[in-house]
Amino acid sequence: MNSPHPNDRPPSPAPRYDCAAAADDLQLLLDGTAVADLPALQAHCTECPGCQRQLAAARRLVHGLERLPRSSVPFGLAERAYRAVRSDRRRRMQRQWLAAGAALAAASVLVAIFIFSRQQQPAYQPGLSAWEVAGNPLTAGFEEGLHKAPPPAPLRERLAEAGSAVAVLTRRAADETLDRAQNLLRPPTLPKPVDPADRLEPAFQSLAELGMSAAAGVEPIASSARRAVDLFWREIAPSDMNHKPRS
Amino acid sequence: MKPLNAFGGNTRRGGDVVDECSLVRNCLGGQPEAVRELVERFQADVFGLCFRLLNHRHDAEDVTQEVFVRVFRSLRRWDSSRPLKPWIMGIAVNRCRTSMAQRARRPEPVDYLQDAPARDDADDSAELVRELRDALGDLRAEYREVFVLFHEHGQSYEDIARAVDRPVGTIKTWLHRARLEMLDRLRRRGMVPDENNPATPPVRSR
Repeated sequence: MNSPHPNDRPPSPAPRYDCAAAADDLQLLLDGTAVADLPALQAHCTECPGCQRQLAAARRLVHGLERLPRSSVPFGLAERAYRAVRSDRRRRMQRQWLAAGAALAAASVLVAIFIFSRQQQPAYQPGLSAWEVAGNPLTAGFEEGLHKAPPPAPLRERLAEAGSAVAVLTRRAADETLDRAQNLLRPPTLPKPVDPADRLEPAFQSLAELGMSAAAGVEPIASSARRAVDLFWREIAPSDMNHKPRS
Repeated sequence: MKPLNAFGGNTRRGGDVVDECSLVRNCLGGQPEAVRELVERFQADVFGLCFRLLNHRHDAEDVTQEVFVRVFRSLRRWDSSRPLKPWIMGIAVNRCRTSMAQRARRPEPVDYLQDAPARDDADDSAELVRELRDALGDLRAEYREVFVLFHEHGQSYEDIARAVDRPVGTIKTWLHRARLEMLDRLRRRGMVPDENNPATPPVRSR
């Protein structure tokens, strides 16, 4: 068996140029791109009425697009746009300045609050006792002479308040002590003699009311227990209707 | 904004060397002349696009002003390695979309003085132009955007993709569908005569 030489084979038929290929080429033409096989498109369009009409419509489309008038720019549009841009820029700058000013004001307020609070409280110094921080009263005069600076006004006021409070408390304690001492020194007053019948009568009445009082005292507990039992039966009633409580 | 380079922003448009980088730099520096020049350079393109997409002259004017306000607000974010026009057109497309969405919520405006009349040719060009305008107005918003950007403003697929923030493949698909709808409309409206001698359409002039 002699196989034919590849060069002896009949040439393979060229790919058929169909409507899909024509539609693709038409889009390329409308893109402004060169079509690889323009004669094939023309030949196909002479045979295919649908593609022929599509090609004619494409020609009309291009014709119409070339004649589509460019819209004329309105008079003064550039000036109006320029003014709009400038006013927008000015507004944005004003907003930025306002925001910066507000931030600065807020920062100033915060700093002022911080400084004021620092003046109100004694500074914390690790390693020093409260005595050392507040100042030793024994050496106060020496320190005052050393520093020459008067204490800040708020601290002076607070010290004055503390002194007056101590004075008030001391005066009150002294008054109470004097009252008790006077009670001890006063002669005792004996009670008047009382009739025994008068003493026994209230006891009899108390014994008679004892039962009623006991019942009245137990009543809240009993009613609570009764409600609890009722609630319990109500809870278990839907699941177990056959087991009703026997009253 | 990326650092301006000596070559990236320079583009050649119609024979004019346009130093967009220096123009933008001057605008950012607050020079009023530069701002005015940028507005005047792009106002026709922006207004044309807005007018075609909105189909209303006064709305197009308002949106054009808004577009330039937005452009100058975000000018620092412009990528200087790319041309300026597609970036501005992208902002214009976005503003037109916003305007159309707002318009959908209020009564339809009617503009009786829409545009300059088409050229009074001896043939049926005026009617054809009217049909094209109506057909454009009936297209889906996305199709209309890419059709106008490609066929009226000569933007490339890549530039349109950047402008409307969609992949190039999507832009091709939208444009092809827009064309097929336009062709179908022209045929249905009797604007395509039966031709026994078909010829290829002229190559699109860019």
